[in-house]
Amino acid sequence: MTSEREFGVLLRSWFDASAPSTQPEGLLESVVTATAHTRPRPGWLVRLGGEPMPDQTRAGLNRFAPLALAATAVVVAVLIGIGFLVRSPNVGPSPVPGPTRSSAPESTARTTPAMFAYIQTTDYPWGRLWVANVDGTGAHELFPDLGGNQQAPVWSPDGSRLLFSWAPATVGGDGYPDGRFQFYLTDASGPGPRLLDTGCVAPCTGDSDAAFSRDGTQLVFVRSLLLPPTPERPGPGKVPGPTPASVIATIDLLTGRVVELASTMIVDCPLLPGQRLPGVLNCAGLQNRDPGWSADGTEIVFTQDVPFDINDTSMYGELPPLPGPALFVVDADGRNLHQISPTGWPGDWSPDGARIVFQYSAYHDIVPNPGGTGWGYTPSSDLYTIRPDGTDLRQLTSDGNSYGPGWTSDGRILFAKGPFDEPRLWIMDADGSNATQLILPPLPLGALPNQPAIAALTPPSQSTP
Amino acid sequence: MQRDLVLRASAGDHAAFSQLATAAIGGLYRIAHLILRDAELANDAVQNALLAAWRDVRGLRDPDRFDAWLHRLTVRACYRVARNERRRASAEVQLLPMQDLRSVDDDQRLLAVRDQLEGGFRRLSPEARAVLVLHYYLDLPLAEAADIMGIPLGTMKSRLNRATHALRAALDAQDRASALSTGGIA
Repeated sequence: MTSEREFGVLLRSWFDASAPSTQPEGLLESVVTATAHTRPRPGWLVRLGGEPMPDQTRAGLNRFAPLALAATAVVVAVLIGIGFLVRSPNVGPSPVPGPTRSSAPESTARTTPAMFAYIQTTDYPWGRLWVANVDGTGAHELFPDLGGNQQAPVWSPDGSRLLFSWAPATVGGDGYPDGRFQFYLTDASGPGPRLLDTGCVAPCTGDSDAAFSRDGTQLVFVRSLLLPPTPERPGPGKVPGPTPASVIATIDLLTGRVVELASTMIVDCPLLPGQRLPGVLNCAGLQNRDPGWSADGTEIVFTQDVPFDINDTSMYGELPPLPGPALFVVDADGRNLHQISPTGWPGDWSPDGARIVFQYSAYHDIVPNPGGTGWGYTPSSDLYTIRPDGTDLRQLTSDGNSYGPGWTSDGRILFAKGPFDEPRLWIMDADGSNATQLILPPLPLGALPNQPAIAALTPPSQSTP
Repeated sequence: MQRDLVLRASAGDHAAFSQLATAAIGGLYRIAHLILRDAELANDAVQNALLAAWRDVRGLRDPDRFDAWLHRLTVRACYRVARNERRRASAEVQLLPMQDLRSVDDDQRLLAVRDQLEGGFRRLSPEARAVLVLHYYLDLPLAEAADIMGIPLGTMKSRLNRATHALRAALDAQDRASALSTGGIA
């Protein structure tokens, strides 16, 4: 039995034991009474959700009541007024103007490099994009009027632009959010964001995890797909249906050309030999994550889930573990795909191209505490570097509490230490020596050091650990 | 049977919705209680969730997704309740006695670990608790849990990893603190 599985079993049994067996007396009656005095909202209003829908709005207009038409027109007009461009379905993909290889950055309103960008969930589950100075001052929501579900901010290498994912905060016919995430680019100091059209059409279901190349002219990202069933791949579960999949893709910001690297495709719910339909254990959410560029823009490092062997029962016994993320490297044209580590994520390529830093989290067995006062786990998350060919693995930390690494422009490593809800920023040399805590407020939740703007900061002071 | 009730509720039949609420309320309360660790807060969250369900039921196109939709509304309601509770700057949330606690293994070691789980779990944020409840208690596939939380699958995985790690770290920290207080070696 692995410790991760044992933890899952323990947690499940504890949930079963601690969950109340029944609701409090009177709760049902109060719900029935309250709902009896409340009128349901019209369906069109629920589906509209009160949020701007750049793509769905046009398709759904014919079904809406005249009042909804007027309301929609007002919303769209307001959004256009604040610079939010609505993509017409009749217009083909248009590239977002970006810096040429030899020209100055597109925007002259350059953001101070030492800023965090992070997501707040003041209206959970919908995220909102915030920025703050690295000393904790000046925190503010970037687009308070934008609405929707804002996620995953990424700075351009020169700190002048911010890319983030946006989806409408709407609920679809299946009761789930039906907003497809798309990328938007902005100058962090000013006008409203603009859509970066990556041509995500079916079977594409959304794009995420974007990273800029060092020269700011390209993006690499993860494309999620929903593949139609085939005789060889009938689909997940017992009812044939589409299968989730994931692929690494790139977009040239100058030309708008999108390339899907077919060699990186990973399909969830694989059929095993002898199976007619994949079972639940085959559908574990396998996907790609966290791609990043090499310094020269010719290679890409990314994380891909490695499925466990369902036929090897010795691996897991009663409960299967989660699929393990592993590091892979591929050429920018999709060739020469190779795994460089059996596990670990995410990877960040050093400025000199020599090494990739990543985090590895291991969960050890339940062990007795020193002194015999109970039991506990020995979780660990440490940082490692490895050559891009998968050789010369080196461990940099051993405290079991280091994560989120990213390289600075001068070849040192920024990383986080401490509790996940109050991480502190540290810096160390590329070989793990001279690890020093930067005297700053705790990082905002989610603002891990792997952001290029943070890598450009000059720490105000340092202390000896 | 439930499908028919959902269709009738979507058409404005309050009696049909009441039947659906009766069938679902126990499970929703368990979820809310696991996330919020407080009976009164869970009570509020479930009421708010079912009110929202009745208010928006006409927007639900797929009646077969009613249960999953209720889960989502409950999780959202838990966050709002927890956020409002934090704003009130009230005293630390007191855990009311559990009702009908099922018997647990007499293994003393397992009891100690479960006690530590309780303490560690209460130190997590509601968001982290929800991730663990959706995956380990409801046994939801990650993709479905991500849909309930309105986040991409990759983000869901990251949060699950962090929540699991944080709980393990909290367990370890509690163990160290206990060791220190009893004179054990840190």
